[in-house]
Amino acid sequence: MKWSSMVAAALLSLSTLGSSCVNEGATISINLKPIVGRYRVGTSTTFGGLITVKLDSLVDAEYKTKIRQGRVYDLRVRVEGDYPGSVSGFAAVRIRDGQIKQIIRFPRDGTVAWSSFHTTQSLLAKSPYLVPEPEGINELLSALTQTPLPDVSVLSFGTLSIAPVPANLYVIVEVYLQADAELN
Amino acid sequence: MRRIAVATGISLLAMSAGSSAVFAQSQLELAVQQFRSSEVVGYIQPLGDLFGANMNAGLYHSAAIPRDGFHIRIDVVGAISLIGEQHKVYDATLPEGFVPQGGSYQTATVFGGRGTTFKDASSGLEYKGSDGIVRLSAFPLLVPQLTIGSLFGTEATFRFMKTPQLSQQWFPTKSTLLGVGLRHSISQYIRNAAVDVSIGAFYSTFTLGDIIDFTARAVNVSISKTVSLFTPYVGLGYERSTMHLHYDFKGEAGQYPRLVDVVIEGANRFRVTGGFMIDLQAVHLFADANFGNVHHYSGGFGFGF
Repeated sequence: MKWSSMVAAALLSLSTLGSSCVNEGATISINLKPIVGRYRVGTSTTFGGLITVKLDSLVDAEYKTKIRQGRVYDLRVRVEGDYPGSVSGFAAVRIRDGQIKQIIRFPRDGTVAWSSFHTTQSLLAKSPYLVPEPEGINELLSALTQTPLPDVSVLSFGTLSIAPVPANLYVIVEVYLQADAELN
Repeated sequence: MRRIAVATGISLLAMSAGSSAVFAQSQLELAVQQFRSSEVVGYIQPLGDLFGANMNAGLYHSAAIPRDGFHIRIDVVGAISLIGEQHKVYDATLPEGFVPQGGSYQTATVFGGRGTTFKDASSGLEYKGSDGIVRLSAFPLLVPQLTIGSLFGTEATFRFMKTPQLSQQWFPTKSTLLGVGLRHSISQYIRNAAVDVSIGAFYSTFTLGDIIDFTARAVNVSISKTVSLFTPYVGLGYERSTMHLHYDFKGEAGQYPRLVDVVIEGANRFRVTGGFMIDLQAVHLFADANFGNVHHYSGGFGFGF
């Protein structure tokens, strides 16, 4: 039986060869489900709304407590409904009871035609109508590394240029996040 | 010698017992499930290339097959494929909107180092590829092999192995290997043949963990010449191997479980083999080198009578 023990040990140890060569601190990059805020404008020339996102629900259970850093790889704004005037606004985040911090403004100055947003405006596509706000983006990214993952309020406020405002106008803000989660 | 043969048999049986202990999936499996089908292929392709080549290694150690008479042999075949720089990076797909310079973006495979962070020149936004999971210079495989013959110059080869998931290793150790092959002597038809010549075919499947299945097929012709205890041999083979990945995509929080079902072809098609066997009666030792798209080596020991 001495031989059998030796050979079995050799076989099993060889079959797991490489386990000691795991890249220390290796991370897998996870694309989170996009955060999508859909805000109804209403009938007034100002609008505002808030959605609550459970960050916990955006990440696979295996990696919820293993996120080391994150990044925003796109921010998009689009509208639904027809309106002849123009719009300006911003989207912001609030982590737990913290401060409200803007993540994006649209446009940089003044207002821009509502119809311009019928085509999705993307930060990645370098839309001239979108301005990222690093402070708010960093706030959102810091939330990704918290354990447990917190709920995040995503808000959007803005104004339209002329009344009357038709019913069923919507501003839609999409945030695309990627997170690096530790494998080990 | 018989004690050794029995001991080896017991060891292989122990390995084949397949404990039912439940362990979490391996790191590799968990990581793969974060990839969409369009992204996973490049990341894991080298594993398919190397594993497929290893599965078709060590199928013969001599071309000599007696015309008749019972013989049985148990081999322990080790195969090891070299991991080159080309196995460590791949051209990844970026999300729509990112414009890579030169049209492609290289990042780490499962065998690579740190994933590349790509910065979009116009927007400044970044996107990162996953890190490699392990750093290895070679990728091994160890399999038991049983050969029984001969009938009309033909012998059959079987491979079987069943192993449990030992713990949360980087690589799934829960596996089931099944393989069967036939080899037939051609030199028996040649009067006073100066060398032994045989042809063979082999088919095997290897279920690895919960989401990876390999299939390998190989045909080969081998030539050998036995001089005293030594049998140098050469061979030429054609082979195919596939890695089948099947899992629920768990990226984007698994809000929309989508079955990923992809088949990845191994790189090796042809191989040239050169090696030698030392026959010490009941015990024999063998080693060979294999050249093809994947360079690898196999070797081992066996007992038989």
